[in-house]
Amino acid sequence: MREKVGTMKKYVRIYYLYFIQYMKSRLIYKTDFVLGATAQLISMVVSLAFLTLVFTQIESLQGWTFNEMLFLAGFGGTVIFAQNVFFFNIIRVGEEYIIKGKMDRFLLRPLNPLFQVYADDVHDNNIPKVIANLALIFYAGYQIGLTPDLLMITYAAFSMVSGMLVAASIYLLFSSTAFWTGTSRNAVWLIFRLSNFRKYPIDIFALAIQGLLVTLVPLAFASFFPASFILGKEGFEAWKLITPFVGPVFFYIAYRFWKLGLSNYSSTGS
Amino acid sequence: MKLKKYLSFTKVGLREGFQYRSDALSGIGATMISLVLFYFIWKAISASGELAQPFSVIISYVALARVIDNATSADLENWIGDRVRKGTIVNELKKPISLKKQLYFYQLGKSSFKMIVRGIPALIIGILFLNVGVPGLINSFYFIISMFLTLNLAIFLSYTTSMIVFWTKVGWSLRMTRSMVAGLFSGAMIPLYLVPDNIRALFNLTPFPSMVDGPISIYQGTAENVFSVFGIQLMWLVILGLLSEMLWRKAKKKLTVQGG
Repeated sequence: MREKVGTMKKYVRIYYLYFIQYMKSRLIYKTDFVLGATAQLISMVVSLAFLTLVFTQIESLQGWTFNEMLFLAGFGGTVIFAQNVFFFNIIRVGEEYIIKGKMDRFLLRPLNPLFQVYADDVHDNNIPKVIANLALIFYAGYQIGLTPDLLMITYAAFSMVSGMLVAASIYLLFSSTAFWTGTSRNAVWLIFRLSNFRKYPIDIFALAIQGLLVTLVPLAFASFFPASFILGKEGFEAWKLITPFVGPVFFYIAYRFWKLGLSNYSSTGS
Repeated sequence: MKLKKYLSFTKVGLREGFQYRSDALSGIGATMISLVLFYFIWKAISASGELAQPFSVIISYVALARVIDNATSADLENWIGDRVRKGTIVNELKKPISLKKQLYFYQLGKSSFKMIVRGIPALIIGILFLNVGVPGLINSFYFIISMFLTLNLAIFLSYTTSMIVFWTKVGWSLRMTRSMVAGLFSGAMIPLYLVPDNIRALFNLTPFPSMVDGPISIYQGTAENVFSVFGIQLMWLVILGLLSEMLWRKAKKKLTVQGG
């Protein structure tokens, strides 16, 4: 036990050192940060504008009011983009690390290779988007008149952490295919496209898609299930209850897949 | 003979498309995903209220919008961004053909590839399953012309924003902003006849509606005057052409080639 705590401490310290190093290099590209954050915020504004335009035509979307849709978008957005800040670098594992042979360097060091990939980059331009999505949660919650008790707040907090792990596990699973294909970009591009499904109540989709959203791309756990539980929507009861606990499970499965890929890795020799 | 020189860039673009097969595959996948997503979103929206048109009419617009949007995407921002940052843009500038023409013909090849592998399959699916229908001979002909103009608009627009890269040094955020805004204003996300009049008037002050909504109105035969659709597309081509030229003249003075 003490040994484990010691290892954890070591990793936290090293992450901190990586972080400082990264931030120093980051200062050179101030415009990249500013423009990146602006672009991210604009994409959020556009999807909210789309929702607003749709709601000029209808009162509610299959029982979901405008504010409830905002809450759903805000919750899922907070989870995904907070996850992006720390776990985004994995999507470059094919192009940036395997093909270019940088993976070799990670394997030589006495640190977990996956940790090193994560620690190599902080996707800081997502931070403004996280804040904006949090604001959306509070705004929508206030409009709806939510008064969560302590239990609900605990549920929300655990679900968010669990959701982050779920999102991280999706990126990890699909990026790990790069050990066989040499590219992770395309697999992840598809995930980006699929991630738009999180903004809608999953019962609007065909059953096959709902199945996809709780298994291979389990985004429903990062967005729809927790949001609908907090909003007191009916249906999917068992799914909502396991939501705060599934994150570690999905991440473990994805991690096993990563390990399998890693054992299959042979250097490109460049 | 000059044309042959230019078309060699088109060939490069086309060949790149065929070369990176997994890119093409994921492009097709992305197109299908967006088709499925929009199908269910609009089905749910239609089921939730009285819209101006029944679902079968709306979905044919939405499917066509997906086809056009996916078939005509251009990405010159990242192309220039990469080269500006690495300093290799100097190689392009040394060539005896202006950067604008190089990029135009290159992107023409890349986009033609997208048109074939992403646009046509999506259109067939739309015709078979989503009530898209097939226009008459004359409207088909007009539609092809307006699609060609849209393709040009997409390239010109991407080229115009990519000029800004000479100041910012990064391309991806500009591209993201450009394509998000275009998606909302053009009709690619929401049929413009469902947008309230005063907001639509605002959209019409931008080139975006002429890129997606325009060709759709020709395809569906709802355009009041086909030639005014062409006219608006041509007008925006001229405006974007002038704007990008202006930006390029400023950029040229600003350009510093890094490293070397």
